[in-house]
Amino acid sequence: MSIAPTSPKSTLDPELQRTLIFVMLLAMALVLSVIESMLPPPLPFPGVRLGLTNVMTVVTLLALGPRSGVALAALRSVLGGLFVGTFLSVGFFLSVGGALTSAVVMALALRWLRPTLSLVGVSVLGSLTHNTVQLGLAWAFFVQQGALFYYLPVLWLLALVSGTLTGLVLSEVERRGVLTTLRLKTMLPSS
Amino acid sequence: MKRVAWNHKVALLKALLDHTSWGDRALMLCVLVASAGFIPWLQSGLPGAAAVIHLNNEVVATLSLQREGEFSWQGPLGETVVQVKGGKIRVVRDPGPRQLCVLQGWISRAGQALVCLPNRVLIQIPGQPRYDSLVR
Repeated sequence: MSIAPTSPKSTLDPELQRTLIFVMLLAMALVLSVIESMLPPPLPFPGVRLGLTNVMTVVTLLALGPRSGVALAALRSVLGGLFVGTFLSVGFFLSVGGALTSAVVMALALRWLRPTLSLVGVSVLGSLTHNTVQLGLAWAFFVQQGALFYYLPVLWLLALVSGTLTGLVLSEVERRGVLTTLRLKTMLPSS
Repeated sequence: MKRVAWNHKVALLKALLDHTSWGDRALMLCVLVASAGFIPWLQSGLPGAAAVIHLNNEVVATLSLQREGEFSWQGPLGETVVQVKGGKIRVVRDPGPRQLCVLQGWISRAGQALVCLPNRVLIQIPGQPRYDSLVR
């Protein structure tokens, strides 16, 4: 991370620095969501994605705090919908709902379950929430058929796989000290 | 070539063990058991006799799976084309952007469903997978 000024004695206003880092992370999340939309669905089930943008949500939660993380998830899914061309479609509402609730769940898990669960566990919880909420929203607003819930175990299994993979990416990001650097820059007490 | 792929698997397993806590592993095991246990059950329905087509949450048709042919319905995005053949049913064409219901392929057993969410089409084979005591 050598994009932002590297000196701890930076003359930038701390608030401005936080905003700059937030915007950078948002830009990266948007690029990831565009890339992800180009990949073919790995399996023919709704809601199956690799969840790469989830990595940026957790990085923001850790570097800038819970509010920024949830804000990033919300902005990323709305702007991502505009970029990818799914804005206001059925999938868009499911994705916004899933992204928001999973950001909230991961923020809580990072705060309360952190030593027991590592970043991999938090990421798995996040993707389980994402998939479950998506299915719940699909049921509540679009298809009121209990048969929809037969997908739940399949979705959970897929969430387990994608959550573990993104969690390993996150774990590696943390091990390389990226989060510590970001936290120093924003003068947030390390958690 | 084979050896390289195997090394990758070992590397992934090692990364998994290095980066996870006991809590993680317990969580992952619970999810695995809870979801994998249900999947054979999902496939356990008896062969269905008919498929019910829903459009916008309303039943628009019931197709016998013994009567072969292609049928189509007009949803909000366009035409969804359905094919029945040999006791099975599938979606042949759908205007949905991700083609999920087309990719799902054939279904034939009670409790299975094809969902073309963007076009608001749901195809369901009525009944439940066999061991309904598991969900009640």
